[in-house]
Amino acid sequence: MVDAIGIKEIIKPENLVYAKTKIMTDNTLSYCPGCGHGTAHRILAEIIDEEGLQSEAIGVSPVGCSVFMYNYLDIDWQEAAHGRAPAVATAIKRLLPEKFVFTYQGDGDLAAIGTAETIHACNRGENIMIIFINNGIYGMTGGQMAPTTLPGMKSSTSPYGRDVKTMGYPLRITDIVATLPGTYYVTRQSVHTAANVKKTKKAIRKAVQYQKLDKGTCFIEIVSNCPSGWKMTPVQSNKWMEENMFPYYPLGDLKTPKD
Amino acid sequence: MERELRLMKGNEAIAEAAIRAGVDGYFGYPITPQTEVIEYLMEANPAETTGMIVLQAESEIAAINMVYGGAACGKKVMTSSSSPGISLKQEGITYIAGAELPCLIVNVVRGGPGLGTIQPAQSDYFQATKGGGHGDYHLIVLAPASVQEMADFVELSFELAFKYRNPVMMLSDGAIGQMMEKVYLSPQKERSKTVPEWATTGKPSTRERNIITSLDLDPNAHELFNIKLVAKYNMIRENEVRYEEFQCEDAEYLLVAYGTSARVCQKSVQIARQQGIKVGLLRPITLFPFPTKRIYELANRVKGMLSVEMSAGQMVEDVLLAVNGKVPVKHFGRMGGIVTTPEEVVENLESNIIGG
Amino acid sequence: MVSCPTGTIAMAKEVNGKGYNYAYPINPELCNGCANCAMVCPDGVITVYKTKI
Repeated sequence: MVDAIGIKEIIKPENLVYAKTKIMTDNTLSYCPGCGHGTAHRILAEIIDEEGLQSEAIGVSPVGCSVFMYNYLDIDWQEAAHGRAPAVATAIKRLLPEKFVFTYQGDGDLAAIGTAETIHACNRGENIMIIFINNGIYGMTGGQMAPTTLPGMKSSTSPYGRDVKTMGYPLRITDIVATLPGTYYVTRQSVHTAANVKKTKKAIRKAVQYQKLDKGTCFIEIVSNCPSGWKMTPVQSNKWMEENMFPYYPLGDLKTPKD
Repeated sequence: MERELRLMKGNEAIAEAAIRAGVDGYFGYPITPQTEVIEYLMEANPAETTGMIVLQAESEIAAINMVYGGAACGKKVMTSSSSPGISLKQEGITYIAGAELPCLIVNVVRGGPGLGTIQPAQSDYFQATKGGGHGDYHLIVLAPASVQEMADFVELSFELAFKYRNPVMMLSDGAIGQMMEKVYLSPQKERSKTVPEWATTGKPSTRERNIITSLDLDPNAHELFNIKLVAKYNMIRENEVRYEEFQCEDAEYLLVAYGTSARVCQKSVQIARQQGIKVGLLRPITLFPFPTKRIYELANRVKGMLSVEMSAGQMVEDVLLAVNGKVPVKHFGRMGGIVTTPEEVVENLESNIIGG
Repeated sequence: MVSCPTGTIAMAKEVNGKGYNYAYPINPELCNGCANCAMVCPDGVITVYKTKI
């Protein structure tokens, strides 16, 4: 059927169903095959495009696999020190209140070294969006244990599995943040299926609206995979994530606006 | 322009000068002996008058990172703390230097190491001028010796910071922070509306995206960047040295001191001269860039130098380097928060430099 | 492969310049233009066009 019409007839602007947004630059992503970061970046870029935020957005990138996020989304960026992104974003939003300010952080950045900055920015109700990519491991540095690593999960610093007696329990930081009155919208999503991609996009769009209305901190956790760190294939890792991560970090809204 | 005359504490003078200089944001945390800075700002409530943001952060670490964020937006932002808090800030400071951002960090030094004491000291000289944070960078360091300079150096710091895209430190001490003197305050300046072209303010279609970062994994590119920083610091060394001389024209011996020690040494010079000793005082105002050339020139004329600092001897090393072996250089100073007396300095000058 | 409801795309037997087996339409006739593949793709390499015939 394709041959019957000819490719040239099909590839026309009016027939376009989906194309990568121009907010994503053409730089090759540095992520491992199958990594959720790529998808998360793209849907964030799509929202920035659809909501016309390119000249309003200022992003704060973390230290972690996504440290080079500023090469992939065509907006103004600031690279923060490990864990400090919420403090950096606080100043940006206070000094440039009309801009759309957000941080994008991993589990070590947000829930280990940056715990104080995370909790206090949320406690002050800073009018920013925080995107938290939780894959239960430190990817960039080679697969070490993270605060969100599951009990029994193997990593390079928990080679026999996470032992809760000596290493503590996984930290559900999102639950803690949801109890703070300064947070307005707290949700946990994923990006491993098209249906979930749509839900996550909806969540990000809501966060954009709430920031325009000056409502407080919007905190979006995205439970994601790390095929390299977990030592699985991408398809295996998504299945493992569904079977193991989701029961501990259930998807859904933890805090929705009352009004 | 009419300057207003007031009687103020050193710390308060910094705060009032910051408001008048049109500073956009102050991010701080309480610590003795500089808490008056944030208390004064909170009470003055400049958010109502100039729109200046004043925020008490959850830690000194958070405060310096807020300064990073604000500076990267091209705003005039500052923080203040004292020695233990400045140690906490070192990570943020090296990031600010590595991203070439302008800002002001005030250190009202207290005795250390560790929790130390709350009394004044000058034991953070190494930390301020030789690094403190990791990597090859320098802060421009200004050392006020009076409440007037505490006020005047705020505007000067931002001038230098934006001129060179570099963080600036005001290295004060607990005595100057707490003492009250008369100070002439400049009139209120409007907060600047100009946006530096490198700042992150939201990418308009007219330019490429601005990225503020200190990371570069390409060794060749990163070496070029470090070479650029070295060139910048050399330019600062060439152009921004500031110092003050007191009775050096016919001096046979030289005292080198900054901040509170310089105030003490002024009296010491008078006492010594009454005893017939021809001594002068060189007071560095910029500790980086250090007045190396001037001290080298003076080494041709004097028989010995005494570096007077409230520490175990830190600036004395820079004096030794400057003098390059020409004349003997020794250090004298009390520690633990004790402020030297003028008579002690003269005694030490006699026994250590003239006698020894 | 996993996201595609019609079995249109699969991993190629060949590798691309990076050394990876890339995704390609093995049964282009089955594609219904749902764009699930494009939505999920972490590298954003897929563009989808749809036309009436």
